[in-house]
This record gives sequence, structure tokens and C-alpha cells, in this order.
Amino acid sequence: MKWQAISPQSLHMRAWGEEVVVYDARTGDTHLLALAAARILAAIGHSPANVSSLAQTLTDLLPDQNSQEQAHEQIEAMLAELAGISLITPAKP
Amino acid sequence: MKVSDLNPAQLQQRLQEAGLRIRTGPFVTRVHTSLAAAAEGIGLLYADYPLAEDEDFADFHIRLALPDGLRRWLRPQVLFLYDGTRTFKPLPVDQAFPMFEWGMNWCVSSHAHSYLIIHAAVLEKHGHAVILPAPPGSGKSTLCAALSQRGWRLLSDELALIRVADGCVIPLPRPISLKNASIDIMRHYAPDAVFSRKVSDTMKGTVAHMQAPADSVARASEWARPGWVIFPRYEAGADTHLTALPKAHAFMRAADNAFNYSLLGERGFASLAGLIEASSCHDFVYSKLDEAIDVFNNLRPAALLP
Repeated sequence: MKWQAISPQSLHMRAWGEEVVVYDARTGDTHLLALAAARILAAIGHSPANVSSLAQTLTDLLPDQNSQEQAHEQIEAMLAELAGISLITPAKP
Repeated sequence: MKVSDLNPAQLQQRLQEAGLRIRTGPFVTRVHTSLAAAAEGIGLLYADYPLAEDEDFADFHIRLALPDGLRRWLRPQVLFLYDGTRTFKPLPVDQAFPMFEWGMNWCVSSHAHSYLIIHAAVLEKHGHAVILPAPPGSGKSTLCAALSQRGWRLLSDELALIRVADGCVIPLPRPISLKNASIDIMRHYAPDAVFSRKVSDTMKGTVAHMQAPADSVARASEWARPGWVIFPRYEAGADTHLTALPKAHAFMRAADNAFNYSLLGERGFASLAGLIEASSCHDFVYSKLDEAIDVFNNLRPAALLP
């Protein structure tokens, strides 16, 4: 299953250190995300992606911190968080 | 011409007939009232404020009036009318001046959307503003009043105005609202300052207003650059403590304290991001005013740090 951003063109981001504030002009909501989650959101916004490819993206971003297994777990947690705040949704097949 | 150039009779006449056009920061408010309590407060606490000319545009038209009917005579109440429309529930007539102040805040926070407006006290030194966002009861106004008496220029006690066009912090110096124990603390701390009389049993408890320093009123057209965003909290007996706050967290908390962040949409986000980017952000806990003043006097703008 692939994930896609709901409205990537509506997102405005500002990063400070390891945290990012994301404003969604579609809903008017503002979210505080970890930098890694924001980068995964940006990757999904660029093109829909599945857990495996996103885990690889995360490993590339944080090569010292992630085994492939850990990366999968972290991606699944990030996707649940991003879906929970209505920034991403499963892509239609 | 200033409010103090009118004698009490002239002030009362102006308030009852043509309306008094008071200039506060970037706004002109035309005030009508025949209520003595409101006139007394305006004459006392707005003495240093310039008056606009009759032909000048007024941003807000307000009237403080007695209601018709029994309430005019039996436990009389005061109405706040904005553009002739009743805006709030009536209050006991002895609360006319606090209602005027609360209504003035409402006028700005509900209409002045060329600014990002944050519920915050704002002071300035050496061209840089310190913004103190905080919910009621945090000790914000007490700290603001003390700083305004110890070398910091008062920009506002309640409303930080961040001009959307350029991110400048725009002054709106008006009387400082004090509540309950803070009133006597500030009377003792600043014995030469001018205070309105206490009004009891308001929705905020006992309230009184402290006159804005004359220098702050005279310099109301001098904007400032963002310097610091500091979230104050009074805690009885606590050690004075200033701690760095991650900017993303400061952003979220400042947004929570903003009146029109959501209404401004992308412009609100950009304005707040610019403010946070340009500011050093901190949490601040205090219990002793003199120690708090020392901490603020040792602040250095981020732009000047090595």
C-alpha cells in the first residue's frame, strides 16, 4: 500500500533544529513535527510511497541510527501520526 | 492637543456631544459617554494621549451608555456599543471604565487584521521588543508594569501588534490592567505612578488600571524590532529562572495566544514564523520583581550576540 499527501500544495513548513512547524492552509491547522517526520511528509508529498521505500528514505536520512527493521517500525509510527492529523492518506490503487 | 488640555467640564462636554477622538498607537477611537465614572477614568489615565482632529478618520466608534428602562435607575448598568451595536452583556455602572478598557481591547483584537495580534505584554529597550505572551493569571501584567517603571518602554500591556507587512512590532501603549493583589504590589513598587480607583466584583475580581508612562505614550509611533519572546509565569516562592525554549515550541504556544492567527491564514503563519525566527525564546519563572528586572536588564538581542 502506498501513502499520499492529502494536499501537499497547502503545506507550509518552518524548521528549527530537529523540529518543524507545519501549517496546512486547507484546514487551517498547525502541527509540530519531528524533522524526520516532516521529511517523510515531504517525500510523500513529492510522490506516493510505500513503507519499504520510506524506510529506505529514513535510513538514508539517518544512516547511523536505523537498522532496516527499526526504520520500518519508525515509518509505521510516523505514518500513523501523519494520517491521524489528516496530512496523508492511503493512495488509491 | 492632548486630553489633559481639556478641563474636566470641556472633557465631559466633548464626551457627551461631538465625541472624544483619542489616538492610541496607530488607532483613533471616537468615544461618546455621559457616564461620570468613564469620564473620570479617561481624564485620569489618558491625560497624555493626543487627540485627533474632528475631520480625522476614526477606526472605532464606541459609546458607553445607560440602558433604557428600569436598569437606568435600579442597580444601574452600563452598555458598550460599537458602531451603535450592543457588543457585550451590560455590567454594573461602576465598571464603566474597566468596560471601556476591555472594549478597546476587543475593538483592536477583532478588527485590526493588518497585524498579527498576540495576547501579550510588550516592552522595548534599545529598539528591540520583548513580547510576553501569557494567559490570564500568569503575572504578565504585574511584570509588565514593573518593567515599565524600570527603564523599559511600554508598547502594550495586552496586545502585541506584529505588522503583517514587515514584521515590525507596533506600539499600542494604554493603561496597564492590574488585578487583585497585584494592585497594591504595584502601588508600593511604583508610588509615583497614577492608578484608577479600584473596582470590585468584576468578572476578573478587583481591578484597577495604572497609567502608561508619559514617555511611552509620546513615543507611540516608534516601532521596534522583535528581540525576545518570553513566556512568563509567576510562582509564589520560586527562584527566578530563565530557560531557553525551542523555537518550534515557542511558535505553537504563541499561536495559542494569538487572536487572529487562524483568521490570517498563511499570512499569520508567515508573520509568526518571522517573529519567532528573529527572537530569542524563553520560559521565565519569577516570584520577586527586582530579580525579574535584573534578568531582563541582562538580556541581549540575538542579533548582537557573538
